[in-house]
Amino acid sequence: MIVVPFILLVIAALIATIGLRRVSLWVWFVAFAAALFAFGQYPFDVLNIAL
Amino acid sequence: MAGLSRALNSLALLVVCAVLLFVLYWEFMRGELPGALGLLQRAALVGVGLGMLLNVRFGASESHYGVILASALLGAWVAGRQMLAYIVTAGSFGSAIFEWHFYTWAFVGFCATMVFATALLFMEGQFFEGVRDTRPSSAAQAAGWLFVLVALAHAVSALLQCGFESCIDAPSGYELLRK
Repeated sequence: MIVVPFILLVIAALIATIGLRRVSLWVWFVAFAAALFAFGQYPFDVLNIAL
Repeated sequence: MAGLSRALNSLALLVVCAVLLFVLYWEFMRGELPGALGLLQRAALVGVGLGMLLNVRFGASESHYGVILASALLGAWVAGRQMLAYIVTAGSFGSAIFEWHFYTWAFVGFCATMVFATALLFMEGQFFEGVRDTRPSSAAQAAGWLFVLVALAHAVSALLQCGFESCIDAPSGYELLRK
């Protein structure tokens, strides 16, 4: 699952390099959401117990 | 002012590329694979680099700085969570460089990035030109392509390590190569 933001970020960088700014920003937005989702999947048990 | 902003963003993009190359070197030469949270911090750093690339390629824009700040915030959040978890369990992960582990350096680096981007946002003159698809200088173009290649190398590394499944905390090898 963590690989998805990486792939999307590479696509966003490629799109930016060829000159499509707005599309690149949208792809980054999806990549950011995917990274947040992947982070949300990570267990927080240890910290929750401590806090 | 726009020229100064573009030069600073180009320089910062090169620093991001250097850091991404260094962690790749550490992964392949030292054999230390990143955990799930380490990969997320790398993705956040690639996001920071993307924002800088957009500033270099198209000129400064608030939304480009938004990409940098949001990515740095996510990176600091993930690195801070990793730091706190190891403080709680009195453990650590990976090697230390100058007595700090990678996630501690990452936290400091992402915070420094937020300070850098915030400081640049005060240079209002850079926004007067607006965004436009200008032909970048050959140095900026080379920095852009270097960033794309380094980001691609990280994507391939993450794919080999985890495939399309969740990554484990302390990986011992590339999962995709074992199958």
